[in-house]
Amino acid sequence: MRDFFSSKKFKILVAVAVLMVGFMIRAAWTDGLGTFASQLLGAVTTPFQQLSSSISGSVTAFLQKFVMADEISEENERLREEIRQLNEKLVDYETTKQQNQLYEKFLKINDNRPDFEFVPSSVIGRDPDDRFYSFTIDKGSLAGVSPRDPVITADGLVGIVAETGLTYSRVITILDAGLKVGCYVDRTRDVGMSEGTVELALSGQCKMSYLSRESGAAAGDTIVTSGVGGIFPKDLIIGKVSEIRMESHGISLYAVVEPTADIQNVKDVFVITGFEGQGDDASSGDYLESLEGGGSQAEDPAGAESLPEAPEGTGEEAQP
Amino acid sequence: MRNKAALLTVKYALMAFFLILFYALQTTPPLFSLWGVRPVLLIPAAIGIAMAEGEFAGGIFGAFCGLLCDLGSQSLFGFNGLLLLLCGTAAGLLTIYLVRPSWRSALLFTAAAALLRGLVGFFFAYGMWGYENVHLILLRETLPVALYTAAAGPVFFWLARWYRRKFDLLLEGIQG
Repeated sequence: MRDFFSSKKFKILVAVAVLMVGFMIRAAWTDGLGTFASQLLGAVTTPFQQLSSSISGSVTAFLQKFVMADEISEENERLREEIRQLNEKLVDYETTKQQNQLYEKFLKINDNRPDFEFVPSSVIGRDPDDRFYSFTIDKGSLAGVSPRDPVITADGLVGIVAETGLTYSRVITILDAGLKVGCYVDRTRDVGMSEGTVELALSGQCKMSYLSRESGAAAGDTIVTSGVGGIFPKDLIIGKVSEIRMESHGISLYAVVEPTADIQNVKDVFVITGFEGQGDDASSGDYLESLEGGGSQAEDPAGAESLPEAPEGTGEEAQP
Repeated sequence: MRNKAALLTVKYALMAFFLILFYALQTTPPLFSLWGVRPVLLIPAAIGIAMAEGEFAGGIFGAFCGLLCDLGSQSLFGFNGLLLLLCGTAAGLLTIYLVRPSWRSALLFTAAAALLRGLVGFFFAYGMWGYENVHLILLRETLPVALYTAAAGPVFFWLARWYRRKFDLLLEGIQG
């Protein structure tokens, strides 16, 4: 031990200790300014610290998944619950918003036609195989909906209820070849029959048949229901004439009609459960005279509105 | 002869490199953290080197470790350097003349060095200024850090001893 204190190593260590004291005095003297040694050491160590910090950050983030698995799991559950609640609120909000929009339209129609009794409803299903765009709505007999009730939107006629269950109804549209609606051209008062065809339904259109060859109907004219037959109320807009064509037999003309309601994409509709003149005999129609006079429907549209035969059985059985 | 000097240079340069690495690990926030307490890895490293390499290397590398500690602390630059120089030299001398080198003595020396550094640092940083409830710092920070640091002593003792043996074998190979 005594040898050590008299050795060169000891003197070096003492010199280093003095150097340390010198560093301290300088650090205290310069009040925070680093010495050359500290700056040098700092320059050497900083890259290592940065590397270490970067690696540590990545490793910690990776390990945290396992170390904090329980915590993360709990948090995950909590967040899922929050998301579920928020989604519920969002659905409520969307439903309320849609209902609001629906009631606005309802109010608009009701102002124009105070005799109408409405049941607002939403489209809940569409038959993907039906080329005439029939659909199912969320209101049935419990809501007062009956077969043959007209279905409309604020834009115009959509179709008619073909079947009703307790809580749903199936609607066929005016594009359906089986549905015929007595109608007239608003501007010229030419009467005819609106009906669907397979060909026109593909492009979302229908036709107004039995226009006389002398008819002055032209593209852009509005087609409205005649109300003959008591199934549809009078003056419901069906659509606009996009083209006038000659029938293949050459006896009369027909108009290609572009429905004003967006039948292919409609989401909310109104079912008219009651209106003035509902169920009246066709003979009471204003246009009866002009429509009467022939036997068959093909020659004479006086039969006004007609429906395809209702399927047998209950509504539930008939639901798509 | 030249090969031996070169090997010794490599040995001590690598040692310095590893110490810088330990410093980087020591100052990386989330590493080795237990209930918010982190060890000062360079203290057991300095003690381990002193026990394995002797009082001179212990003193020099102790000073180096201390200076690295000073870089990352709020104390005066040189304060930890001086303390660890003394601790390293003392640990080396005690290992040579008084205490058998073992993990227990490593634990003891590391604990003593960590406590000394912690208490002196605590006194100059907090104790002498008369702050209120200053004992909380001692109980919740200074002592837990010293204990955690002491726990790392045996690990660094084994590492330093293994490192020395590796280079001793290489040196024997050169001389043989």
